[in-house]
Amino acid sequence: MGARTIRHVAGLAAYFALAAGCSDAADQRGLVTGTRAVATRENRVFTQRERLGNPLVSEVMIRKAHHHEHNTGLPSTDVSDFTDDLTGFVSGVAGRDAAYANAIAGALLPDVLVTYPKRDNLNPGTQVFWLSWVFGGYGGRRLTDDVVDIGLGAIFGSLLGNTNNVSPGLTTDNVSSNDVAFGSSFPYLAPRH
Amino acid sequence: MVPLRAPSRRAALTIGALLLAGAGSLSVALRTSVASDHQDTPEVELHPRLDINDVYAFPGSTVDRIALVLTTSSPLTPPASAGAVFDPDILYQIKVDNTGDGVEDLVLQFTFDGEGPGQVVALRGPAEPTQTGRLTTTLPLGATLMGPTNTVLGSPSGVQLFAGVSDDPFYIDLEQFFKIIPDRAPVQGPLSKIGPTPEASAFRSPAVDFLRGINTLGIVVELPESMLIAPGSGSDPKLGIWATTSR
Repeated sequence: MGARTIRHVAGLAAYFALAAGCSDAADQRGLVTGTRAVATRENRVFTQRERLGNPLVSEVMIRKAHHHEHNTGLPSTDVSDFTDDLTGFVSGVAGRDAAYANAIAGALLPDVLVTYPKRDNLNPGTQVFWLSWVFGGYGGRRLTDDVVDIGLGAIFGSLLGNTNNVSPGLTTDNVSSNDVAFGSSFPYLAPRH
Repeated sequence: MVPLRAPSRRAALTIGALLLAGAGSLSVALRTSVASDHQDTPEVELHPRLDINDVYAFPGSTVDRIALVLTTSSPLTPPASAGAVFDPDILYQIKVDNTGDGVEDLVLQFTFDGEGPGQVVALRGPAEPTQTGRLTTTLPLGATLMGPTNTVLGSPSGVQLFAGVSDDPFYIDLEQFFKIIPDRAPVQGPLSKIGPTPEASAFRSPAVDFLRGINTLGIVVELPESMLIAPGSGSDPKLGIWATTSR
């Protein structure tokens, strides 16, 4: 926890340094009190409040006490900050072996959607769905991907190749598709209800 | 407005994953879940427009294009969707690491002006951010695209942008999750009737997609892959993609 504290103190110092560097006194007062109407968008320093890369990772596998840290955290320090949370979940809650827990943590941290955008150009048969990059696929995440089942299949099943201590009845919520069809062209999302 | 007040999907997924721990470790999961009443941080729960529901990245309309999606503010019921707009006080970003160090090399920034039906969206980037990390500013560039929300903007051969209300693309049997771990059920709305004792110990079939008929605020951008790939990164370039909200 020492490293986290140091990082937060450093972040706070950077915050005020940056605020002071590009704001007048009124802006500094505004940033401290939250009355940010004094700053226009162009001269304002924005502070990260939330982030999301992979589905399921932050909220399912990272302990609640660390969620704010994750929301305000950075992929560049995810491995050091959150590997213990992920391996602890996979081994402690799901009961999988340590090697498998490490493999899952390695696939999901840094917490970004890993995408190999040229693989489908080179091979039209390339698989495109969340985590498919682990097997040489495109990765990314499609709208149609059943990420609940993929995630549960990885954590509780043999999706990533480990058959030790799987929980076969716990790998799907039995909802396998969206309630309405997605568009085949931009913007792809289905129209509002 | 229908008084639907479901926890975020990520809360639901947490619950599901905990309960799915199986017979051997279910008691551990239950103890864990009893200790907390909501998965999101209070800040995000109280400000749903700060909440990023989901992020997507997938091939676009041609093999050399890529589509990126960010959704926020779900669950929106149809009655609540009519006046749903993005928050002009929030900087929405999709960040791209194309060098493998976990640091954003490029950002796409989305900002909104106006709070009513005439709300305007602006996209800046993709471009190198003024500063990487938690603190940043808007890009000192003109907008790549700007125009009304709920409208397709741009060119199919260049950058395309849509920001507006759509169906929520996510799907999950949330109700069954709560029947297995009722202490996580919300305090308002139909799901609050579940519990207090567990009503199920496994998923059901047929299941029910709790997000059927539910809307979200979605941002979709499609652009040539070459705008995101680092020069000289070879024949099999890798991208790390994530989204943030800032204010």
